[in-house]
Amino acid sequence: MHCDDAARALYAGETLPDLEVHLSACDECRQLSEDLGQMNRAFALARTGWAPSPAFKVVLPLAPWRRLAIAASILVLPLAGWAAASLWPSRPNYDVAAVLEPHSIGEPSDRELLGALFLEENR
Amino acid sequence: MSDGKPVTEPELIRRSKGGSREAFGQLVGRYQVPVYRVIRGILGNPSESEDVAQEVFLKAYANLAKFRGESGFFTWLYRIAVNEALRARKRRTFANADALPEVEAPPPVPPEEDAPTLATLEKLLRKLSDEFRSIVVLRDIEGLSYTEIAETLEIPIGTVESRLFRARQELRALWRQSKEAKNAL
Repeated sequence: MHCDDAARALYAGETLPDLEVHLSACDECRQLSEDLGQMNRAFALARTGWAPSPAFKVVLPLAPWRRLAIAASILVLPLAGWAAASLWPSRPNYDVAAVLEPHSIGEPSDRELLGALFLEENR
Repeated sequence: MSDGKPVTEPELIRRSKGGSREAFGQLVGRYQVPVYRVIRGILGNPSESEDVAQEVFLKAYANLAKFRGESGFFTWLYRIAVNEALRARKRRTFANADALPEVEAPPPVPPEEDAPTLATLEKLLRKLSDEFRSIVVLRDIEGLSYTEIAETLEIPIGTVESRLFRARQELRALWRQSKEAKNAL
């Protein structure tokens, strides 16, 4: 076996029948075989040693409909708040107590005041 | 899943295409370590590799509709991983062009025994070209077949064979140099 054939077989990871015989007689090819063996052990270390950290976690984006739902809720919430505020019965601009409670003694009633006003205008 | 049987990969892909984040999460769980390893082999930096792995899965999720199943899912995923890792490497090279020169690491302490180390491998892989590094990582670390590498890198099988041969030759030459330098210390 020629060294070129041995090297080709070694790099390709092939096992040819007379390769061992050649390696036992050729220092250069034996050296190549040993180096490739060490490299293969290093590759095996990489296979077991290279791993993401335990904290590594792939974070997927939200589905489009979820993003839409969130955006819609962000828009809708203030609108809903505004609508609720505008529909809420506002505070009356007259004195409820004055309507519901009887007049205190000594104060003229609305009717009396209107009557007085009418008389004053027709005077 | 409800009947306790493991869900097949095509089924997970089908469900993921239908919008199931849970199904895609299972695919991520299956492939996050090998995808990370491919990126790590090309980039060499652990934390940057995690960032790129994240990008790879986001890209896969966004483009899942384009996966038609003509190639294996993992070769499709590896293709994205290789491309993203190489892109990240180019970005880094571009960003470093104006940066301060890289500080030389102190000379390594000679190991007690002449054992191959991951650090040596990482250092030597960085010296290979992008093409050579990618193919060595896919074949010698991930164990992909020539056909799978051809699918992943979108090159003919003959190119896979010749490129892998030259990549291993170059890596071995670097390995020898590294050993001789250690012996000289």
